Amino acid sequence: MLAKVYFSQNPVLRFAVEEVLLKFHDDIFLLKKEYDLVLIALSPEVYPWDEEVVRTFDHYFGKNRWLAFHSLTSFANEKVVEKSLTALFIRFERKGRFHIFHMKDLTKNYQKALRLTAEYLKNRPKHSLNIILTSFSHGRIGFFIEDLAKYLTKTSNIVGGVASGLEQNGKTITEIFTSKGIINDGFAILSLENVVSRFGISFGYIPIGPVYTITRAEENFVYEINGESIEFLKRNLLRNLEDDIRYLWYIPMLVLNEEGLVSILRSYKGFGKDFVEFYGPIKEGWKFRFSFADKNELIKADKNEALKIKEALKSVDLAFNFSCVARQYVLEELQTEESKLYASILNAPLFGFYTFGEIGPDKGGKDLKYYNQTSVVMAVREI
Amino acid sequence: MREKQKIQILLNLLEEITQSYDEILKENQKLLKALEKEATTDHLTGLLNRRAVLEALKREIERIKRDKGETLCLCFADLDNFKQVNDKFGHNEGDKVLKEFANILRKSLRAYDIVGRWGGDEFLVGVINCDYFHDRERCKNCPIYGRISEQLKKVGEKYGIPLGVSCGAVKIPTEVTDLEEAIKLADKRVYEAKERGKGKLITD
Repeated sequence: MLAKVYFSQNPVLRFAVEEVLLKFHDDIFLLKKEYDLVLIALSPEVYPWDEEVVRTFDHYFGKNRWLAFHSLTSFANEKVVEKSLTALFIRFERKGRFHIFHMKDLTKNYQKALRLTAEYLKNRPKHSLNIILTSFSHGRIGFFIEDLAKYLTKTSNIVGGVASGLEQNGKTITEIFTSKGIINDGFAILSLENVVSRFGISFGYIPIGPVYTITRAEENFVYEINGESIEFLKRNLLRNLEDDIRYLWYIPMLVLNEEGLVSILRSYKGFGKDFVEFYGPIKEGWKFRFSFADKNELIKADKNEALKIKEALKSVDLAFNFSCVARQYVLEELQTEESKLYASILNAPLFGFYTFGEIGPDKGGKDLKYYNQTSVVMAVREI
Repeated sequence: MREKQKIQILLNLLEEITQSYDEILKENQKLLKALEKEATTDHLTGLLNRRAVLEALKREIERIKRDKGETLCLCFADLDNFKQVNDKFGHNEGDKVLKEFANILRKSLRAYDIVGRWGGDEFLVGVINCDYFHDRERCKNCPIYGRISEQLKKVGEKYGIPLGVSCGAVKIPTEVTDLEEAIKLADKRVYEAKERGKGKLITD
């Protein structure tokens, strides 16, 4: 597989597309100026969100040969870029091929979507990597991923991220674009077939304090912890600070599994009078500990995951990183280090973005999870 | 970058955690107390159980050995005719009698005296610095014993059974200074009280 990542910060969509295409054609290391597929991270802060996007990409990249998603900050090899169009060009050189599956109106057709998606994933060939690029879907996507996991026996080749977009009138606008149209409540799956892949999930947070229990929760909202209104959390944790939810990203919840080990993380999305909203589902009875984000520890955890992947896969054609926007925030000036580190250790082109939620197998590779505040990294090699 | 805010949020978290640990600690202490009570209490009567009453008496004897002039009167009490209650009215009624007797003991003694159930219908009592300790005559006709016997008699009347209590009392440190010896001697005196027709207090 030949993979190349280019970006443009030209604010005019067609000029940005032309710029990345020009870079592709001018790349002296590319002998054959052909590609099979383009994956595009598109900043909603700069570019249009309408059918114009579909028409432009169909025109320049060719119908059904591209897949795009909203991304506030993208990874273009070792670089972290904002307000950009970042494009990954893939050309298969051996048996590799791709397939794009898409699902619209997820909230309305939830059960049907579950069944069809599970069927699609079950029918993928043994050597495939399935990348789910999804909209926030009114906060339902976390539930969907957890429900989907119940239908699947193999999850070690499924990863993904929630498009990162803008908040408008209380709604989270995160869109996916394909030749079939715009998806604002649903997702697309890019399946790379006849490839081998390895994944890693980087945490790196330092657990602090006792175990708490979620005693009242619904969907992504928590109302009570240890039988007490969650109002105390806002009052105690944001004392002497402005009402900025992002400060809480320094102390995410580490949700524990039955053995008391860290299973997933949850980051805070917003506050109400008597609730806290999270970026993913929270269930009654869940036990959690608070943690603290030390940026150096996060980078150390990233490095460990990358080294494990490199050790397992040896040669890498292409690497992906889906890392949380909350992680980006707490990494502070080191937020540009993750991409450098992954690209450098895996010695391959890197594509990805800072997400509103990460999708990946659990540490054992048996269950599919919806994460926050993590970095999901994967490496691919065509066979 | 955001150093001040980071320190503040960490401080807030640590404060929250300290509070949580405090609450956990309080809960644990409550639990520990409940467990301790559970481990030292006789479930039927609510008095100290055999192990706990021995511990309490042992502590008291150690104190007496240290503090000159302090005394302890250890009494072994065995209900008379209790078996008849069980035989005629069943074990539930028997248990009621034991509970009532425990209440009589509690009410007749001071809060700091030691009262426990030895097992069955046998009880151990430790009267600390009893006013009659050095008065042999009053000791033989102990008013506390008298009050207890009187109340127990009333309980027996409800069943038409002459309930009474045979008691063996031992004086510490004047007679013995060892708990084991004291119990042996008290037990011997209970036996003697039974031999001499029940409902008696035998002292030195």
